[in-house]
Amino acid sequence: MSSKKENLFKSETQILETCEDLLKKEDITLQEYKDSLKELCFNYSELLDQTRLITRVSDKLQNKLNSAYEAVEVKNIELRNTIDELTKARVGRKAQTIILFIGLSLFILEELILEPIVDKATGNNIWFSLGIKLIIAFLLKPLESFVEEWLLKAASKQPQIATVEVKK
Amino acid sequence: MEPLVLQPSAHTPSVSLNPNSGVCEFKGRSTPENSVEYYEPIYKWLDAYVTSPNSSTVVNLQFEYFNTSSSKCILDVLKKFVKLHNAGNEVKINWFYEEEDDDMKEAGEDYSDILDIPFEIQVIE
Repeated sequence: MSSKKENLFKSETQILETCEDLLKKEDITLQEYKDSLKELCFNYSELLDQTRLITRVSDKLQNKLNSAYEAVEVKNIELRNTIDELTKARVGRKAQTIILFIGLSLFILEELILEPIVDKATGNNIWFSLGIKLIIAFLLKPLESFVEEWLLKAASKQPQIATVEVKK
Repeated sequence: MEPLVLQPSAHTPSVSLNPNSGVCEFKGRSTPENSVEYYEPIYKWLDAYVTSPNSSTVVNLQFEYFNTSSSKCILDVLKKFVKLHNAGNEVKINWFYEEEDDDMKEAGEDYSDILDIPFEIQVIE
């Protein structure tokens, strides 16, 4: 990492080394010092400009990264909501099919098994038989809700589609 | 002198430096793991180009995103064009940014502020 930084600031490091070498020299004239200082001032000014630029640009690009992160977060929520809605729709259709099958089975069983017994016991009273059928019909809706809830719980235990995770 | 063409990747921009037409293009995102290593051949190519340049040089930069070390490398690249310009050659820098990408527009303005060279910031619609 440090060698990477050294390479990135190769020319700046060379300027610093030149100045350090100059300071070590003993046989140097005042004019040479002045010239070197002038050059150092120029390079320092360049470096300052560069630092300002890199800091500003870096901050702006961080803003861009933050905006992208926020956009991904929003998309993530939208994606999760869409998956939830799709799961609910799929489960709803499945629950309806199951209830249709259960309803038909109950009506058939009622006709074949329960109705002859009820008819015999009530003396062919049609209202008893209709009442039983109505009870079965009214039970279907709560039963559907129960099946739907159960299927949703089962679906939530299954692995979901991976959503995008972004580290800030 | 041969042109230098670098294909883009997920972390590096596409680079096309043509000595015959004098058109130098950088496009995409620049977030290489080692920016210096990536930009080193570009520096070398530009050092050679500065010694025998085209009569007119156009530099097109269209970045989506670049990391901090790349921002320094891009500055070093642009400084080589400034050197070319200061030697009396015709050089123009075009900084392209996508509409609504104000951050990249302002980054271009920041580069333009410290470089003494014709620098145009253009929007891509």
